[in-house]
Amino acid sequence: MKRVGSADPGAMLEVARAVVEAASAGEEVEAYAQWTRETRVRVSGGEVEAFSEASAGGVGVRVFRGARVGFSFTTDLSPGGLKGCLDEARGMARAVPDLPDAFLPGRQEIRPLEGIFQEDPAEVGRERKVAIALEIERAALGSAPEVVAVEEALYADQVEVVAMASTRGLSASYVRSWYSVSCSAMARRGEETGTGFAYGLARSLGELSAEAVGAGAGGRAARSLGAVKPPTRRLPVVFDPLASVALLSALAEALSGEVVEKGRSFLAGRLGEAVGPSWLYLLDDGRDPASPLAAPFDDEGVPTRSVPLISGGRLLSFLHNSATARRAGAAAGNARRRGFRGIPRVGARGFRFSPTGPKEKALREAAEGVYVTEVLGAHSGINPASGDFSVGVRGFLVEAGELGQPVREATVASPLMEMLGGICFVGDDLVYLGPLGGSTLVVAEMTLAGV
Amino acid sequence: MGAAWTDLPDEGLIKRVLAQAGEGKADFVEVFSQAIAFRTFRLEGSRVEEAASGREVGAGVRVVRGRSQSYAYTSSLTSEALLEAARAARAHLPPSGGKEIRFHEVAAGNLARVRVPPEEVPIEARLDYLFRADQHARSMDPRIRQVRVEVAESHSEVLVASSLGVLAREERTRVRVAASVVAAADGVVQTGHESVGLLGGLELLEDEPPEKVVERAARRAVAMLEARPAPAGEMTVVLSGEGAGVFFHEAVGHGLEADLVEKGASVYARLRGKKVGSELLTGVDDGGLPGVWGSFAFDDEGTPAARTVLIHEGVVSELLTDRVRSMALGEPLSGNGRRESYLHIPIPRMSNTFILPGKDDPEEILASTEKGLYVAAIGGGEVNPATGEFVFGVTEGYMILGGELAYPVRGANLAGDGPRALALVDAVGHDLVRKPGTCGKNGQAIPVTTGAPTIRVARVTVGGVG
Repeated sequence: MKRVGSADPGAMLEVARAVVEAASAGEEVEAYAQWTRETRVRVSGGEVEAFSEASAGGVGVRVFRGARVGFSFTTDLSPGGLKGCLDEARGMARAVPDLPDAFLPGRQEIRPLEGIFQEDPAEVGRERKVAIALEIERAALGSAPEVVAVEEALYADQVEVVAMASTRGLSASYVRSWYSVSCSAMARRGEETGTGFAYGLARSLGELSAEAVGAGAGGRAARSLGAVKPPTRRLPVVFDPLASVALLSALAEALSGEVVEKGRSFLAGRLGEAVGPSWLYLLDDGRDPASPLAAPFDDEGVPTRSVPLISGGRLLSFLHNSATARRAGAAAGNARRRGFRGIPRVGARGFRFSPTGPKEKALREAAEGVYVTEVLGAHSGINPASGDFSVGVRGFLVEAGELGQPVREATVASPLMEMLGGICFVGDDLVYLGPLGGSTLVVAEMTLAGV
Repeated sequence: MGAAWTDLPDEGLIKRVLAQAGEGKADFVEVFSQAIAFRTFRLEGSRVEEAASGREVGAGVRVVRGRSQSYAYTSSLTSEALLEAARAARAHLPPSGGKEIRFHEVAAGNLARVRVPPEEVPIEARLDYLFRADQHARSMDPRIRQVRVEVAESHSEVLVASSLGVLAREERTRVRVAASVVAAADGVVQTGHESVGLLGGLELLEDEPPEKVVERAARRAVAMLEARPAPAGEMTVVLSGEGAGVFFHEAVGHGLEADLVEKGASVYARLRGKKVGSELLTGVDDGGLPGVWGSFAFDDEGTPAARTVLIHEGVVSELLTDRVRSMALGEPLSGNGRRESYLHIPIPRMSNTFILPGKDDPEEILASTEKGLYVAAIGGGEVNPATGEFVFGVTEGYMILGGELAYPVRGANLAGDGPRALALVDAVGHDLVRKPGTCGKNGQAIPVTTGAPTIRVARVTVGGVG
């Protein structure tokens, strides 16, 4: 396989194949080789605070001895390093008891996926990357007189190669890349400080606007000044796209076949049941090039596809890797790992609701409610097992369909099941934060707690 | 699992790399190299779902000029890879051309107190621990539906050297056990967690028997089955030592990290030297405690670990610094420049952070509280250091009525403003609980310890549905 821009998938595929070719009789072996090169530019006060540029690679090896599975990874890609890693994984497989239903998936036809590698970040000069980061900061500082500082203006890009091989005939690779910009701005009035965050991610640099992200963060910081603790009551809640990711993250976990089979999901045992309004559609599209995690095959080499999870308000399916799929009698294709260092678990790749209307309609839909721009404490306040959702929020009160008084030190809470049932609007302003595609969401009623 | 010292670059190579990185044109240049070995064993559904190991080596070269840093890393320790990283980090600076660097602060450290070296323990002993934990939890109560237990080990060898003359080596061995138990009854599902960890070896498995660890997690899950929805609104909150430790780390510790202070992104920057909290309150960060989970002999810039007083009798005191922030602010080096690994630039981070014990009897604190929320455990939290706002999820909480725990509550969180909450602390117990944890900041996860006595805060917003 030839080079793709600055990336060399052929070299990583050779690494993966070299491991697999060393397999002994009586064992199945799978190798996941990964190489990444990234650039990060952080600016502050008109200067480059940190510029980092580097590449790293490694391989993760699974050995199956019957139903016994061992795993090991290494960054040492020399012949000796690969052999040592294979031996480590064998040692693990020998020591553990059988893992029922564990198996190495067979070779399946993989359709290539266009659009995940568009522009090589290596072709973009260092100076341009720095200039973009500086432009973000400038735009934030110029967006409103109250914006006094930028906590972080960040440019980042990444090129990644994934190559997999197995004794079951798998031999495949892909190259993908992305660019992102983000900004955290601070505004001040008297003793009060407000903050605002904005973010953008795209496959090509031309789709990103440093100006829009900087001005977005600055504008939000300025508008948040004068925030008060709102009175406690029940009301409609509008989540902006980044804030909606808190809910998506809880749903993605609760829909993981691994979480479901362990009884850690409030959605376990509800397949076929109505869980939302009859128009609600939630899917995981592993082939949506807008998601940074889009790929032609999952992290076990199984072809990716679009999986409807909730359709017509009914719970249709969970996400599965090969082992959880076999136990549940369902289809695999949702294996995900933490790069070469991790074993394949289950995870979303392009997880989003289907939109119902233009985002501008959201505030009218809520009429009198609260518009949430920032969620605090999502990982501790959301429990996909018990189905409780309770997070800190920052945002604005919505009065007669318009943004009103900014609020802080408040929380919104509801059982997740009631939130799903109460979704009454999905905006068309999709933004991916990792695999989770956020959009403006309106939930008919939740508890806002303040004073 | 001991990756040998010889894996790391020798002094001669380090000097070549530092020279290549442009010493003389920069304030300083630094090489951070690391060899790490990991092992993880995880049991869930009464089967071993994960038996994994890994080895990773790498190095990062940093060039610092004023507030500006340039960094390049490589997952290879060959001289070619290191010299290439040095060239990349140097960017537009010319090489210094062979100026001799003298390492005048050469030291080696190891605060791990390893009694049972992990490499001497057969895998089967870990698996036995996991199965014992599983069986014990399942035998405790028929409502227990799921048990997850994990033993995670890491052994890291670090060598950091800089043109300032520092050359420090350290070995860090850490072991952690985490248990998570799910209980269910009548359609209600609750989870309880417990974890223990140390800077040391597999003696942890003897010191903390599986039955004991899993029992604490299981009790929590079962207790919460009876929980009623949490109330919403302002009330008095009594925090257990475990809860107060996380609270202090999030709501105070982060605000005293010097990178945030330097950018004016900390509400505490304007409060230094001022009394914000009750004089009952003194809190410190101390990375130099032998054997403790969040400890290290040297931080990841080669500065020896030390004790830093963050809040002294209610007065905002010292900052947690790394080298760059120490130079920029003219503040002392506190030994808190930490990084997750060679893939990252060091930033100011906490180590072991805790509120010192006070004088009140913890039982009396509870008994003298007429009505409020008792927070036994916090699942984590998040803080906006610029505004002081915080939110914590309460994973185990109880309503206090008439000075007693009346019933458990679910779905609660605490929201408020850090400095204001400190001012409202009106009791500090004479007990102290320390817990191992993982702290995330700027995409870097590092081991930290949180700790505190029982404390009471007169008024906090509790977010619930009721």
